[in-house]
Amino acid sequence: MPRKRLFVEGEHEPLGSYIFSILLVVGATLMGLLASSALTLPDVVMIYILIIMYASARFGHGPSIVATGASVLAYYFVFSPPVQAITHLLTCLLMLLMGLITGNLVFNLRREERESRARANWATVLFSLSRDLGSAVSPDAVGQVAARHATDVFGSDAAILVPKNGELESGLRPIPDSRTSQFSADELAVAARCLGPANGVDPPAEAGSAWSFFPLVAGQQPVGVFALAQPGISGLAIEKRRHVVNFLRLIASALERVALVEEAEAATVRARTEEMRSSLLSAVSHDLRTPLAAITGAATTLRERPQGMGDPDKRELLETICEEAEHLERLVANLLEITRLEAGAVSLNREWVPLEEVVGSALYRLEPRLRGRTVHIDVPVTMPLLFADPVLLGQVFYNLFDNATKYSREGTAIDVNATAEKGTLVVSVADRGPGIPAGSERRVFEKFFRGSHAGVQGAGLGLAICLAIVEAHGGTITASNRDEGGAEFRMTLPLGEGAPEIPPES
Amino acid sequence: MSDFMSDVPLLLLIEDDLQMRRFLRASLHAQGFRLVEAETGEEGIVLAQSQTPDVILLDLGLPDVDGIKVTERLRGWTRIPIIVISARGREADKVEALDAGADDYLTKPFGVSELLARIRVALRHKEGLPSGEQPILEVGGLRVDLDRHLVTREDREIRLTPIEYKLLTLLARHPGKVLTHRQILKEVWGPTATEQTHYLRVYMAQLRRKIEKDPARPHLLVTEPGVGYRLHDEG
Repeated sequence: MPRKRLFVEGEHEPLGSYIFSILLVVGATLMGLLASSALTLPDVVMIYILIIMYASARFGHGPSIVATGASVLAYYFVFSPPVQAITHLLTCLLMLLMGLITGNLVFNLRREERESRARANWATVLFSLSRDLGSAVSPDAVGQVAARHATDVFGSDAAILVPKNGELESGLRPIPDSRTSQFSADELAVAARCLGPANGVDPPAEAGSAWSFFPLVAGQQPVGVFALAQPGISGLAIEKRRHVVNFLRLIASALERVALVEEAEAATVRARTEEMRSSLLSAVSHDLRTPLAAITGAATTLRERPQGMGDPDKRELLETICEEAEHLERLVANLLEITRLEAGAVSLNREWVPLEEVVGSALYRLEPRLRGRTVHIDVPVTMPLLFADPVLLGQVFYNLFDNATKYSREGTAIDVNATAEKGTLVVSVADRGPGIPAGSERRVFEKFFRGSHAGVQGAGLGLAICLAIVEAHGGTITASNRDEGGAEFRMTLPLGEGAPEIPPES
Repeated sequence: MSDFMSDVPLLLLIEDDLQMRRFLRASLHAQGFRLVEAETGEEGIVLAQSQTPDVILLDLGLPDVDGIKVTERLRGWTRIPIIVISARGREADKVEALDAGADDYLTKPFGVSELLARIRVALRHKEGLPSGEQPILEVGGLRVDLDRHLVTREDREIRLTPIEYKLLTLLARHPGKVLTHRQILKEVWGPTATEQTHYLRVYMAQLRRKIEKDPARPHLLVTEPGVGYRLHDEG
C-alpha cells in the first residue's frame, strides 16, 4: 500500500516540465497554422489560454509563466498580420495578463486541493495515533505505539526516549527496547540536552548522528524526546511542521497521562500502606497493651500486696499471667506471620504430603484448647497426595480450628470434609457456633477484622493469614453459614501435577 | 554426700540473657537439679569438658559463637544430650539444630513443665546409651519385641511390613525425641533417599492406620510440622 501523501512538496518543478510546456505551445502553433483556414484569431487565443491552464494545473507556477510567454510570442510573431500590429500588441498584452492570472488561479486551486488532502490524511494519522495511544497504559506502551506510527508517517525508524525511573536526572531510556543499542552515549546526551530549560522547538543538530531529536513537551513540562532516524532535520516546511508538532504533542500528552496514572497508583498504594500501618499501630498498641496490663497488674499484686490473699485468689492471678502471656505470644507470632506473608518474604516449601497428616498435626497442636471436642474428619482413604507447603497449610487448619473453638460453644463438634475432583482438593472446616454475621463473609478475611462476639480474644489476623497462605498456593477460601447453623470455611487447592510413585515394598 | 550429689543430675545452661538464666535457675533448683551456667559459647564448651554435665541447655543466639556451631563442636567429642532453647521458631532453624546433633528443640517462650518433660526424656536417653540393645521397647501402650520382631497393642498383634517395622522401631528407640525427616530417611531408606520425604509421609500414614486408635487424630506418632516425627511417650 503506497504511503498516503502527507507533505506538500516545495515547488521546484523539473526542467522537463518547462520544456514540455514550450513543446505544447509549439504543437498548438503548428496545429493553428495547419488549420488556419478554419480558425479565427480569437479561436487561436482560446487554444493558447487552454494550454496555459493545462500547464499551470499539471506542472505548476513556473511552467505556466513560461507557457504564457511562449504563447504570447508565438501569437505575435506567427498569427498577427503585420498591418494591424498595434491592435494585436494590445491583444498580446491582454493574453499575457489573462495567462498569468489564469495560471495563478489554477495553480492556487491545485495547491489548496493538495493541502486539504494532506490535511485530511494528517487528520487520519492523528486520529489513529490518538486512538492507539488511548489504550496505552504505560510509558513503554506509549513509546511502542508512537514509534510504530512515526515509522509509518516519516518512513524511517523512530523511537521515544523517556527518563529512566521517571526522573530526568537519571538519564534517558529508548523505547522500544530493541532500539537501545542504536543510541550512543553521546546521542543520548544530545537528546537529554534538548529537554533542558533553554530549548526551542528546533532540534539541536549533531554532526555525524543518524538521529534527529525533538523534545516532547506536555504543558510546560518536558516528558521525553522523540527520535527520528533522519539526520539533520531542522528546516521543516511550515505546514509540515504544524502537523508534526501536533503529532508530537499527542505523544507528549499520552506520556504525561500515563505518568500521572502511575503516580496516582503509587499514591494510592502509599495511602493504603499508611492506612495499614496506622491500623497495625492501633491494633498493636491496643492488643499488646491489654494483656501486658493484666500481666503487670497480676504480677505486681502478687509481689507487693500478697497479704490477706487466699490461695484461690493467688492461683487466679497466676492463671491470668500465664494466659495473657500465651495470648501475647500468639499475637506476636501472628503479626510476624502476616508481615512475612505480605512482604512476600515467604517462599513456599512445597512437598507431596497427605492431607490427613496436615489436618492431624494441626489438631494435635490444638489439643489443649479442643478440650475433648468431637472432630468429624471425612477424608477419603483414596485421597491423592497434595503438593503444598505442609507447615503453612498446617497453619491454615490450625487457625480455622482455633476460630472454631473460639466462636462455638465448648463441647460442640467440628466437621472436616474433603473431596478431590479434577485435580482440585475441596476441603471445608465447619463449626456449630453462631455463624458469620450476614454481609461479613468477605470482610472476615481482612486484617484486624473482628466479629462482634463479646469475650473473644484475638487481633483479627488468623483468617487474613489463612487467605494469604491459600492464595499463595493458588487456591481460594470462602466463608459462609451452614443451613443447619454454624460457620463453614471452604477451601479449594490445586492438588498439583505429577504426584510421585511410591515404590512398593519388595 | 558426694554419692548423693552425683545422683542429682547436673545441667549446663548456656544462655546469655540474664532474665532467662534467672527464671531457669529458680525453676530448675526447685526441681532438685544442679546447675552450672555459662554466658558465652566458649565458656559453655569449656564447662562441658570440665564438668561433664548430664544435659546441656543451649541458647542459639549467643554473643560469641552461634549455638549451631557450639552444637557441632560439642558433637565432635561427646554425646551428652543437648536441648536447644531458642527464640528462633522457624522450622528450618529447628532442622538445622537437630541435624547438627541437638537432641531436642524448645522454642521460646515455653512453660516450665514442657522444659522438664524434655529434660526427663534427655536423661532417659543418656541412661539408655548405647541404645538398641534392649530387646523389648514399651511405648504409649505399644510393645515392640525386637528379638521376635513382634509388635503388640493390648496383647493384640499388629502386622507390619518391613519398612513400617523399621520406621516404628527407629522412633521407639528414641521415645519423645524428634527425629528429622533426613535422619529417618537415612536410617530407613538409606543415605541416597534423604530428600524423598513423600516416602516417609506415605508410610507414616500407613503406620498410623495400623497403630493409632484414631489415625486422623494421631496421639502416638506425632508430626512436628516441617521438622520430622516424634513418638509420644507420656500421658
